[in-house]
Amino acid sequence: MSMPLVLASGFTDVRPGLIFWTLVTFILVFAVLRWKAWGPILALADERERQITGAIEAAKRERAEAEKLLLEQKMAIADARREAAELVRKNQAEMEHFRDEMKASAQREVEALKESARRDITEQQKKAVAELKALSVDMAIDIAQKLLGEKMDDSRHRALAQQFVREVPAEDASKTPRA
Amino acid sequence: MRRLLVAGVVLVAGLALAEPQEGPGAEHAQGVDEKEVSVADYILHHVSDSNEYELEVPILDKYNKTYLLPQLFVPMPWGGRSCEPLAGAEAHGDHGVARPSLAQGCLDLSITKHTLFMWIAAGLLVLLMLTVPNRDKRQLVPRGTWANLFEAMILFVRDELAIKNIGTKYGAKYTPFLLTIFFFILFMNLLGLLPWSATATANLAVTLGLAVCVFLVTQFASIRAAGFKAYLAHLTGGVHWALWPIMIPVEILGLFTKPFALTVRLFANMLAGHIVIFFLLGLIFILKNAALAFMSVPFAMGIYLLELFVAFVQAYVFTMLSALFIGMGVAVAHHHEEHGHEAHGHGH
Amino acid sequence: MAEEGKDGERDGLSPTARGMRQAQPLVDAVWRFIGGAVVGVVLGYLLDRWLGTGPWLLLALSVLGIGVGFYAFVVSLSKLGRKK
Repeated sequence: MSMPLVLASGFTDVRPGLIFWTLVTFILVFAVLRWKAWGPILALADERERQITGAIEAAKRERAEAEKLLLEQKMAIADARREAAELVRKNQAEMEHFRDEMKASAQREVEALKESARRDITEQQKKAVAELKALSVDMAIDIAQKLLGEKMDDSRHRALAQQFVREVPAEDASKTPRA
Repeated sequence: MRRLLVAGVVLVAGLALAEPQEGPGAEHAQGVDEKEVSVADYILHHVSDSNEYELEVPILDKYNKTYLLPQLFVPMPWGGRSCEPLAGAEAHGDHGVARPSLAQGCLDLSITKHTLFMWIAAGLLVLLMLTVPNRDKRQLVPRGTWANLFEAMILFVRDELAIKNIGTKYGAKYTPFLLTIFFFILFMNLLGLLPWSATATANLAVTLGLAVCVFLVTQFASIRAAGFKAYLAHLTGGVHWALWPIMIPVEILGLFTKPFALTVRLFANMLAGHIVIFFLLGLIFILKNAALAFMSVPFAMGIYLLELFVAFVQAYVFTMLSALFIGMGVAVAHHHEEHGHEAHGHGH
Repeated sequence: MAEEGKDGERDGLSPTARGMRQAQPLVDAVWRFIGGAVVGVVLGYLLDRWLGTGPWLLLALSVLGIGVGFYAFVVSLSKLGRKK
């Protein structure tokens, strides 16, 4: 393939007319497509992108809200549970306290009862001893009258017997009624 | 599928074998040298622009028809010559016949083979773009394969080419321009792959015209982004005003280098593939060996499939580089914004 | 250039485009060097042919073009340096 042939064949020719027609055609195609095709198509794509972005944003927002709500609910449940536990704990403590108090008061009452019973017994005992003493004096006088066969001067003999009884040792006196 | 492929190969091989009897190679059947020239001639004739459109009928060469396309000459003010349309053999001939040139005062606006196919591509593009992609506001999601395919390509140009090379700030503004460039080139490339058609993008004038558009838009983008003053300041190269007579041509020359690269790249890529296909088939006639068809026809088909891919790649590359240049124009202007005043002050 | 890198995430540029933008001032500077010489030679040649002044304008304008190109190159680079 010789060089002059290549040049003569004209595939490297630049026809000014064709440049002109290219420019005219391109500008026309550009104008028509921009007006009727690119504008609407790109606007539609933008609109769709906007909507998708909006939907995603909304979904994200809703999800965040739902999560917040869920968290709140969880916290509320935890609160309630904690409160209930606290209540139970408090109740138990109160019950325990109450029981302790009951126990203590019962104890106290028992103690008091015991004390009063002891006091009663001592009193009764003292009373009994006194009665016994009086009875033994009377008996002693009676016995003595019977023994002597004569009626003694009452007041003088009573004083004598009382002295006699007083001389009786205390332990013997206390033991005597029990036996 | 495979059977279809084999049938196709046999058919094409048959056509190739049948052609030497009456084809263009038969006219000069004197010797290998002559034949070589005639095949080369045939190839170059087919990839070159011309004033006529040849409707070739395979095998039955005698039914070939040649249509002379309309001629139009516009007289320019500097020419003394009357610009009458050529007649007879002069009008048909694209070899050796001197058509009145622009320097002689005649703007040749005749419709040529490439002009014709450029217009067919433009018409198809407008027709398809106005009908196929979804533009119904009520239905935001495209339906159907073609609508989806077109929209995918449109959004690819916007997101991957316009935004990625120009930036988010200015990218959307130049998307319609880049879309037009991309689809216009793509349609011309693909149309050129059909039988009985011609590839307008394998013509330097067409790629030059497209590059002129890119150049103008780049300068426009540069001026719009930075203002006219900063744009002019950049053109002076930031040197003393006495040196401007040399610096301004340098800068202007610099502005033209990039679109020039665009021009040659698209032209050479679209031309090369076609020439390779033609040459592979022409090899059969050059070597006068019919058996060669079994090798060169599959090869040519492979190149053809490659061409299909190249049609997309070249449209992509041209658009991508255009976007890159526009983006750099915007950035250069921006870069000079802070220094524009300094350079200006330096000049005075 | 520093602020370009800073808001690089927002401008949506591909790494290639950003790299080309950043290299652009350097390419410009180199082009001024080469272009100065080219314009000087071509201008001198054309003027010589037009005026018929032999090789003298070609020589003079070549030297001038190379000189101006180199000067513009240095000015551009020093501006770049100052900017950083």
